[in-house]
Amino acid sequence: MKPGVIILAVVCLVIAGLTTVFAGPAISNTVSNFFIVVVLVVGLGVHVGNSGIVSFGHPAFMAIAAYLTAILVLPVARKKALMPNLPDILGDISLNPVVAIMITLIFLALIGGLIGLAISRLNGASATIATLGLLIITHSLLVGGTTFTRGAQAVYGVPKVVTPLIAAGAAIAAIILADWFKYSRWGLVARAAREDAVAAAASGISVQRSRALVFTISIALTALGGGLFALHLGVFSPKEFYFNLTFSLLAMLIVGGGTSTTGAVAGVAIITLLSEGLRRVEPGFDIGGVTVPALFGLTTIGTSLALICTLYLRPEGLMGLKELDDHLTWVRPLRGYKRKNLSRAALSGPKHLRLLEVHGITKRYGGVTALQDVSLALNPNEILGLIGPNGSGKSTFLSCASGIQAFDEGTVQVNGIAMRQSDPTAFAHAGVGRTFQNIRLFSRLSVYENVAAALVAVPGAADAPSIAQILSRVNLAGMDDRIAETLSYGQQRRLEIARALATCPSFLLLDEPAAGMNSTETAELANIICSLRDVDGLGILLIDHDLPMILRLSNRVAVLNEGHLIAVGSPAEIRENPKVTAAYFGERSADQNLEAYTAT
Amino acid sequence: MIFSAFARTVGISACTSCLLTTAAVAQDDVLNIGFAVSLTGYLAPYDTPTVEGAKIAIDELNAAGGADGKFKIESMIRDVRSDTVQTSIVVQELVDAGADIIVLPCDDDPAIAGGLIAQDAGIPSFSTCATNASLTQAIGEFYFVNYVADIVQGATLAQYAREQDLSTAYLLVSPETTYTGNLPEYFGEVFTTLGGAVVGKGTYSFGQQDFSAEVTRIANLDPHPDVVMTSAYEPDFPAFLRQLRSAGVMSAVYGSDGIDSPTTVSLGDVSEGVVFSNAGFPVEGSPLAAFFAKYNDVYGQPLTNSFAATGYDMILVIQEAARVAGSLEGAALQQAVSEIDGLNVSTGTITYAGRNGIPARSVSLNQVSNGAVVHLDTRVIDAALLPASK
Repeated sequence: MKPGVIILAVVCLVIAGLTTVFAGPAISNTVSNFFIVVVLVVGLGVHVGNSGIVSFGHPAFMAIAAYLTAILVLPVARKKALMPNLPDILGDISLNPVVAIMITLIFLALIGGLIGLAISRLNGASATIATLGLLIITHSLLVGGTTFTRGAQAVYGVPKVVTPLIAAGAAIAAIILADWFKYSRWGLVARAAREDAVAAAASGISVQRSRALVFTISIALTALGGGLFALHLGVFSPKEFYFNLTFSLLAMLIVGGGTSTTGAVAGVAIITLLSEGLRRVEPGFDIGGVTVPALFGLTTIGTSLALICTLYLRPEGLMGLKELDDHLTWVRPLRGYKRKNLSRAALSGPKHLRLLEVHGITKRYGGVTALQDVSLALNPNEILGLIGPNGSGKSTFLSCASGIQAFDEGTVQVNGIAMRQSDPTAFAHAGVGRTFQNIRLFSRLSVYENVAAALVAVPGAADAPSIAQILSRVNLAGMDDRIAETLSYGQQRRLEIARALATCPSFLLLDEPAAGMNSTETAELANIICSLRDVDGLGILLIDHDLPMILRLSNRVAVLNEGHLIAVGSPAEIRENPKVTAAYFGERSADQNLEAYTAT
Repeated sequence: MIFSAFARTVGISACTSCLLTTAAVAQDDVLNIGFAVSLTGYLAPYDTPTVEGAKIAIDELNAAGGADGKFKIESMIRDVRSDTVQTSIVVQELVDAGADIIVLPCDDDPAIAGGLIAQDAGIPSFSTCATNASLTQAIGEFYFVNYVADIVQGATLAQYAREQDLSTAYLLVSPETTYTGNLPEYFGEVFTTLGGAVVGKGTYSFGQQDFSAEVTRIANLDPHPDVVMTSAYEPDFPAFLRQLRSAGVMSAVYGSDGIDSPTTVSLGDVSEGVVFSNAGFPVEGSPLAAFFAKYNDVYGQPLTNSFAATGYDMILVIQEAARVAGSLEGAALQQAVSEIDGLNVSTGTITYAGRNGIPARSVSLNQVSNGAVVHLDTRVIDAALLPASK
């Protein structure tokens, strides 16, 4: 277990222990409540942190958990009085609270998984709005579903069994689970998808599946918090789990830092300490003969100010993206990510068929035809240069050939298998890697994690290169812990190639990898690209505006103009091709020399 | 329970500074009243005036030597922010600080959460204005309803309706709160017991604006019901009433204290004849009118609702209990409260004896007439008429 987690766990235990030994019922009540809120905010943080999607809907699941736990543990006589219409199977049982919490967790994880599958199809704000809808729907169901609830009336008489130690135990369990998940391979790919969903998919990550898993884990923790809430307070009604709660949980997460488990705990601690302090001075007091008058509302004002100050001064929260471990200089970041090995059967597949074939692709944007019946094949051991004036359709072609973009006609086959459109994850798994014209890294992840996310997503041969080998291949050795967005431009371009290499591709599609590089960097890049062809036997599609480089490196060059493939041939043939010169200089300048143009 | 006084919230918060308290230390001759009430949040419009009224009574009694002339009354006022969790924490703190009486917020969940703690500690508790009678079963014998219970308001309105020879009733409910859900049902039960008939029931959602479906159902009844009863309040009640009248339904409309607001009167012809109940009407020369004047003197603004009066009455109940018990011991106070019979308070009389914690207290019946509220009657309903609480 990581030192940061151990420290948090020890702090929780010490607080709970001291409370148990020394504090009266009022403080115990406050401390238990604090730990339950820690469970809830850490649970919410698992979702917000790993998916990057804010959820307003978590209190809905907390409510369902509270009701389910209450129904399972309420004494039968009380239950018959409160909810006379309950089905006998629920009405006639009264379970041990531990068993009830377990059942609640499993049930809510199932619901969370189902709803997660639906919500994971939505991105960003749409997903957030969907969670808001969930909250409102659930609230209405709880108020209206009087078979299982008491409508708007309170459910009461739930045995109050939660002690500070029990609540602290749950909080520690939540922290351990959240931290383990965050740094597991599933957490890693989810965080990669959080940073850039398109790049994640192109790196072989199943974005939806990872989001659904995040949602499920997050809901399971929320269910734990909801069940404990019922067993702590003993009384609740649907209104306890509505907007007020949504906002106070989110406020704590924002103050602490939504993408960090430590931040979630810190947020709860700060807001709790602040409001506990402020509410004690609210009724007014005497100090040195001066009477400070009562000022009710101070608590709410204080916590709101804390939220505003955080958003203004430190928008990513107190802890930002960092965990406690990141502040402990003696703790090395996790390095255990490994690729899943391909099965023997998969490895002995038809090697001879290695070919990326694009057949008759047509792509239209409204009235504009970006690609018109383009067919092109990429072989292993070759660099295929793709050139053409601005707007000729090069990047569109690359996006169609890597599954990012859907097209209107034609097919793409990888190793003889027809690929489904708009499924970049499948392309990555079939051996097609790519980089992007506008760099799309997992910006706030480290160099190591950028490569690791792709590496764990796509299985490969047991002897495929390790992360360290890949990084040294693109001259980024020793930069593992740098955050991707802090790298220089050239380094970022090379990291994108490294990430693509981590998926063990047979084909690599590079969209302007040399753009913005100086001549030294370009030369360095050219060496890397050549060695990938010559040593690793990759088929490389290379788009760039640096024509001398293309003509020098490529085995073949294809030329696009206004969406039409106007020429394919050796660099020498392309140099002489009048159509190509015309495309670049216009019909009247057909006698101009492409080489002379490109030399400038 | 509900009073549409949101507009007054500004005035209330300006007045919270009046609620100066001093840290109380438990002493044998000091009656400590712990207020775990909502001075902020959605319950503030109800809890704040209740505390204001209580404060007037406490100051008066202390000026006269304390409760029963011997127990000085000290108040510990804490804001629970309309939050159930906070209420349970604060009540425990007040119990630890030596409270002899606990005052709880104006809603079921926080009242139950806090009331159970007071019950365990053997300390009597009163909710400012939670009106759900079933709370006495949920909490126990140490809990007392203070305000007019929904069940009492519903029964009183039903009795009056039958006296007016209204024999068919239509109920409009909203399940979103027990107040809007159960009060009309209590009305219906008593109305039926007294020989009337409930001919239909519709439901609405808070803030739905369009009542055409509900209104059409009523308009299609042939003949129209004699009375339409609802405990809807703003903004639902005015919207419903307008649409009902424009659909040509001229049945009597009965409401509860939720519509005891200037808005109802300002609706003009539409609200003419609407009957509603509340905890008291300041008839000239009555104790309530005197209290209204007193409130104006203390807080420098006119009183527009009955919560301050019921808060004042609550302290009178507590003082009476201390007087009868002769001690501040919890069980003795509980016993004394439950034996109070016909105590004169600002809103009329109040009786806890034989009522299982739900007081029989005066309910005023009022009617909108010519753009003003006219007092019809003030009465205490016979306990035998009350149905079982939901």
